[in-house]
Amino acid sequence: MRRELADRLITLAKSIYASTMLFGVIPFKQNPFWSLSPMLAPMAFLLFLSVYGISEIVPYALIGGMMSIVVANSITMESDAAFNRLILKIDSMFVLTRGGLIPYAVGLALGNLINALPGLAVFGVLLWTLVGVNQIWSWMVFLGALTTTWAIVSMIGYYISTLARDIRDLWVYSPIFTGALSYLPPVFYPLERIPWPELRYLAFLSPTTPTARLMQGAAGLVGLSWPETVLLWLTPLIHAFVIFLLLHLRLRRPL
Amino acid sequence: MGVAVESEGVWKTYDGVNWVLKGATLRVEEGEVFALLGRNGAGKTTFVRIACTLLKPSRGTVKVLGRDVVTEAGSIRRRIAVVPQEGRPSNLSTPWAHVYYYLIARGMSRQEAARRSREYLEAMELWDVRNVVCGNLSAGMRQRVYVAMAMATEADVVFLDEPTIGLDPISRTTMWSQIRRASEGGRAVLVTTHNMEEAETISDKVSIINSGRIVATGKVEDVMRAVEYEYRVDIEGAADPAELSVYGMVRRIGDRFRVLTMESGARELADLAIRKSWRVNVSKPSLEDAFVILAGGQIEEGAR
Repeated sequence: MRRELADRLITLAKSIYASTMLFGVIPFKQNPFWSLSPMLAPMAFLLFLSVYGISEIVPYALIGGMMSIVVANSITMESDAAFNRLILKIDSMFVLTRGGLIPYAVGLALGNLINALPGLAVFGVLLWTLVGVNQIWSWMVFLGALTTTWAIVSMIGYYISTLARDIRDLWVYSPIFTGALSYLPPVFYPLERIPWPELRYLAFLSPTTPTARLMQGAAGLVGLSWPETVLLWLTPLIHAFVIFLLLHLRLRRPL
Repeated sequence: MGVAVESEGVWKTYDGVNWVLKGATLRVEEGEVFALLGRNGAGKTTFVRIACTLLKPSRGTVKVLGRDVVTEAGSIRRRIAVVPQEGRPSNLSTPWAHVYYYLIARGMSRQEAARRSREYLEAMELWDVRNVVCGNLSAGMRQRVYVAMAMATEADVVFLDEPTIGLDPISRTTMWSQIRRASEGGRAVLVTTHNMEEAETISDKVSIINSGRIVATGKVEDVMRAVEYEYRVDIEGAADPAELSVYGMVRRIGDRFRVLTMESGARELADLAIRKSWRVNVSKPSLEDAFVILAGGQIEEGAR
C-alpha cells in the first residue's frame, strides 16, 4: 500500500517535472525576454514614485510589484493551456499519462512561474535593500502568499482556457485580469486607503487582497492581529476551493 | 489474439439534436492495424476521442483492452496513446524534448526514456534534427514528432487520427512502415484516414464510416466486394457521361470520367476510346471505388 502510494507520487512528480520542462524551462531558454514584460509596469510605477519623491509608497509598490508579476505570469495559463488544447492539441496526449491532466496543468503553471522568477528576484532585492525586510519569517510569509496567489490565479487561468473556442478569444484577458487582480484591489496600497468599509469587504473577492495584505503585514507596513492573520490565510483557501470546484465541474462537462 | 477495441452501438451527440455517431460497432484485435475510413465529418475523430476516454458516448459501450472507457478510464489511459488530428508540437521545443519528456510524463525512467527517444526518433528519421526547435522543421517533420511521441510509449493500443495529412509521399511511407512495425510487436493501431492508398497499404482490416454509421467492416478485399464491377476505366477527353453510363457506374473526377464496369464493358470502352481518340486507362477497382459506393459520394480532393 505504502509502496503503491510512493510509486504514484513519484509518477506524479515525474509528470509535473516533464510538463514544466517542456512548457516552461525549454521555451524560457528560447526566449528569456518573456520574463521582462510582466515586470515593466510595476517597474515603471516604481520609477514614477522615485521621480516624484514619494518614498513612503515605495514599499507598497515593491510588494505590489511582486504580486503583479506573479499574477501576470500565472494568468497566462489561460492562453497557454488554450493554445496547447486548440492549436498543439497536446493536452489530449498528456491526459493519457498516469497522472492525467492535473500534473500536466501543474507543470504548465510551474513553467509560467519560471518566467516570474527574474522579476521576483529584482523586486525581492529592492525590498531587502530599500525597505530592509531581512527577517526569514517575513520572507516565508512572502513565499507562502506568492505561492498561494500563483496557485489560485493559475486555476482561474486554466478555467478561462476551457471556455475558449479560439485562441484569439483569450488575448484580451491576460491584461484585464492582471489589472483586475493586481491594480484595482489593495495590492499596491493598504486596505485602509479604501474609503468605504463595504468596498473593503468587496475587495476580498479578489484572491490577491488577502495575500497582498499578508505580505504588507510581514513587511511591517500594516499591523495585523492574530485573528486577522488567520482569516487572511483562510480567505485564499476559500477562493481556491471555489475555483477548484468550478474547474472540476467544467472539466467534467465535455465528457 | 485478444480484443483491443470493441464498440457496441455507439451513439454520440454534442447538442442533443445532431448525431455524430449512429450506432457505431466495430472490433479491433490486438496486433492489428485497423483503418477507420470516412469523409470529413463522418465521425472518425469523435469515435477515436471516445475510445481514448476523452469523450463519453451518448449511448452504447466502448471497451478498450476489455475495460469500459467510461467507468474504467483511468486504467485504460496508461495503456493507450493517441496522436490527435492536426496537432503539432511546440515551435519552441525540440523533437528530442517532446519525445523524452512525454515518456518521462508517462512514468518512464530517464534511461528508458532516453533509449526509446533515440530509437523512435531514428525510426521516424528525426534523429538528425533532434535538437532543432520544431518551429524550424518542415510540417511533415513536425507531424512525425507527434507520431514518434505516441509510438515511443509502446502502448498496447495506439490511436492515430489522420497522421499522414500533409506528408510528402516519402514521409508517408516512413510513417506507414512504423505503423506496421508497431503492430508486429503485438500492439493494436487504430488509424483514421480518408487516404485510400494508406488504408490499403497498412491495414489488416478497415471500417468505412459514413455520416456516423459503420457501413462496411472487414479485410480490404472483403470491403472491396461491395464493388460489383470487375474493372474501372478512366477516360480523359470529351466524353459524354450519358454515353458512358450504358457501360456501368460513371463518376466525374476532375476533367475525366471513371466508369466501373464488367469485362465486356471495359473492352468496348477501350475500343470506343481508341476510335474517339480519348485517353483511357483500364485497371481493377480499388478500395477507393468501394469507399465511394459505400460512402455515397466523392472523396476529398488530394486524398487519393
